[in-house]
Amino acid sequence: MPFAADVIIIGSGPAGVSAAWPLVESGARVLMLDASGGAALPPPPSQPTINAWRASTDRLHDELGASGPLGSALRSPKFATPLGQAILAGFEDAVRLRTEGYFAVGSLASGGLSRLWGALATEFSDADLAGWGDAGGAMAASYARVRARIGTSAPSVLSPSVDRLWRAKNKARGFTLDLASNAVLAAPREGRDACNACGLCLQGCARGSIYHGAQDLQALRRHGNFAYRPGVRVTELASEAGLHRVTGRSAGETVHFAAPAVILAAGTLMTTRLALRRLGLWGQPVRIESNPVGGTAFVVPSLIGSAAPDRTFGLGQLFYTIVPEPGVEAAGVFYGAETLALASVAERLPLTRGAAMRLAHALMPALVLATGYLPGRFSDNSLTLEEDGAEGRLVIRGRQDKPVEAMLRRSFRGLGRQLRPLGGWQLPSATHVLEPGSDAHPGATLPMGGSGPAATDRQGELAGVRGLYVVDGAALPTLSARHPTLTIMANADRIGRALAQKIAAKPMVAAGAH
Amino acid sequence: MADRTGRHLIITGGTGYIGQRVVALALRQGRSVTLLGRRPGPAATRHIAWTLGEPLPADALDPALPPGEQALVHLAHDWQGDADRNVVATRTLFDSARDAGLGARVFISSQSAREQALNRYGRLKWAVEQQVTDAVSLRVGLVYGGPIQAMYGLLCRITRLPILPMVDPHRCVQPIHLDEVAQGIFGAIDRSLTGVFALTGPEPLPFGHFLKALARAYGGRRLPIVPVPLKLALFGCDMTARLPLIPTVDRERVLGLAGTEPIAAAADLARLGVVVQPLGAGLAAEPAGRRALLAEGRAFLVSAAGIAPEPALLKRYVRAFAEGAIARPRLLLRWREPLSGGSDFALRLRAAARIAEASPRTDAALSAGSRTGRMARLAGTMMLDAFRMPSRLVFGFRG
Repeated sequence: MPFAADVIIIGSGPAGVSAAWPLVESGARVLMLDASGGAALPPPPSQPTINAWRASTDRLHDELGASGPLGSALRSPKFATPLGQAILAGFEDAVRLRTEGYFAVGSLASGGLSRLWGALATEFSDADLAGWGDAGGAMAASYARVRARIGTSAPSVLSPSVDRLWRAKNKARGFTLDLASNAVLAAPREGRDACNACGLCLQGCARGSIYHGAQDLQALRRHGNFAYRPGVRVTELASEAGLHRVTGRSAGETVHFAAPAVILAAGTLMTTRLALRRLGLWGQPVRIESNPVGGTAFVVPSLIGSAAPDRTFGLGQLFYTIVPEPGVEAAGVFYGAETLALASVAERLPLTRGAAMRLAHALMPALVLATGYLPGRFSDNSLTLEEDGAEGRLVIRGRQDKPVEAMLRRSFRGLGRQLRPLGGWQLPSATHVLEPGSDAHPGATLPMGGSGPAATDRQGELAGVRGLYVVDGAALPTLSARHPTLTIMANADRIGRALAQKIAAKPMVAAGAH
Repeated sequence: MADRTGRHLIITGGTGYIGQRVVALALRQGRSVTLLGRRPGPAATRHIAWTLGEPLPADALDPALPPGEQALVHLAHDWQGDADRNVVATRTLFDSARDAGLGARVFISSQSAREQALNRYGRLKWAVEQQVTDAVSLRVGLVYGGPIQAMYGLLCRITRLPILPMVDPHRCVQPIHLDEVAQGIFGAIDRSLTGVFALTGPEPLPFGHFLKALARAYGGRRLPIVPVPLKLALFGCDMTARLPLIPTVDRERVLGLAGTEPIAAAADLARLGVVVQPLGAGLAAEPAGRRALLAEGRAFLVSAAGIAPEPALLKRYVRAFAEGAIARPRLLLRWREPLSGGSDFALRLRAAARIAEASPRTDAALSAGSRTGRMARLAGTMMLDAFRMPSRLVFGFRG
């Protein structure tokens, strides 16, 4: 018997599942589609500690795969592992994406990019939410609900170098420094183990401690009013007779679904593609925000040459904010370096390879690596759905002005000055600015409360299309310097909750045909 | 599975460089083969004694098959003979084959086939083509791959020289792999084509680049080439015949190269059903190419990690570089690693370091001992590296 859905949710990432929960709990019938399918993802390593993994013969394959070019050592190792490659595979083709001066990633796997995210669970500040109108007020409750659902915690162990800075934190002036809040379990729950500080985070968490959307998917599927259909690449949306019609490709065939309401949660790039197509906005550039991002490194000299600890943590350990200019908040994360391959440091050293490896090995335990992000309003990228005679090509042109890059570097220099009294010495040649899009947080293409045809209202409803909601990064009015994922999930929860109330009040939510 | 036209192949010159491969692939495809010539072929083939000038022997055909399902492939060429020998003899052979009702007749010609070709070989091939217009003539380009014989063998040998004098290194050739030539021959037969077709690589490539690619892929060497004028080159060829230890280069070969003109091949290749892979990939897949890449991997892993590489590391290195070996220094690699990282050599050394790092032995070696011991070793290594800096600046290998 076909499943008659009240709501179709496109996408099984953190936004999609966060919108699904309130709807499913209220009894609404939810059909979730995603484009996953095909081969299962390769299993992550399961050694008890990172040192045990390094001493095993599995490491070569886990880190570098079995064949093919090695990929850049300077990008996050998450992207180069076979697991990472499998998570990212097929995305560019599915979205029919072309980029110019912009780094784009996405995932067709169930759970989306949360399968390999850094799991930082920060909230937007009150200043960030001030521009949300009355939607901002509802976010506090949603943040709390999402945190409780996914489980967040501070790191149980810090790298010795990061710990050195943290102990001196009361000397911090002019910037805020806190333990990072990550979507990582400190205590076990059903089906997921607590984090045991094995340090293998970047290779994939075999214990399920790090949250990702597919874990929620599993739980959702136990509800009778939730149906899940993977392997569907949605290509088009249309409205007829008060229903929204979703067309997609699945296993080489065209498939159709229909429901009174549709939620777009396929990730900013795919969601924007579908929305622009639905609105008929071909060839019209739309602003797409990214966080200008860079990195730098600090060394704690007394730790050079020390042995790598057995227990360590590969995700963000400390979270900082700093003000490079009045009215601008920059944010970032401190990481230890001992969970990275030596190559990420060795390749930057102009020594011969053997010497570079030895020096990197001595330096890594003493290093603190820091990322730095500027708010999305400083990015200047555009996204256009261009005609190509078929489904159209999504073109993203990235731009980062020199003043913005200078501000980011200034922010890093300021950070360096602040960390000196805490015992961290900045390595000047280590500061680098990355290509636009490297933050992997694209957003604000269909901003809530935005003007213009490509926008949504405060409930995420697409302008001029009743019953079609946007709940992922595309709907954010703007990107804060703080990581947006928890905010996206809370926003999706808020919108899902409001839609659930609407459906409960009127059993068939009629979408105005447009 | 053989198509109906070529279920039985009658091949002349079947024991030569191209012939051997055609015979082997034909048998693998389930075709039957009869060799015409002085020497027999492999056990699965029939052999009939025959010399150039004789018509097609009646018993060359397989009595069990209709003549229309049998084909002639003429690879034999008399290098010593004069014009009449080759042209008339080929005409005789092809006419008798046509009269016997063979479904396809293939003449192996050359890219150098032209009425006014500089080399006799090219003029002869052109003359034969005019005599067999109702058959199919395949103008084969510069063939590489397979057994180290014939022109390919000569080129492999001369690229081992430390420096190579060459006439007209800018003149373009169109390399094609031996297996692709065989594919083209089968394609012409199975698709019942007639006329003249180009069976060469689609993209012209300066001959000097081709030779350097050979030296790189098979020997990991840069090959300095010195252009010499044609007359001097021909004189040099005559000398090579007299001097021991240097491979003899027939002046006809040099003339053949000097007279090569590019020909458009893309359409013909499509009609023959041949896809010509890039030269680099073809060379890398040859046994000599694979050996060179293995040797390179071993050398780089030793240089990067200081330990003899385990098979798993070597395998990963080889699989990371499907494009084959690069030119590399043979001695004192660490003293020649360039300071800036862009060259192929520097990139591959870094790749080797990453692979070596992922080995438990490297990890153990790096972590061994006390902190003081490690720091002492590090200090020693860095001092040695300081000594290496000037050498790397001046002698850094850029390939």
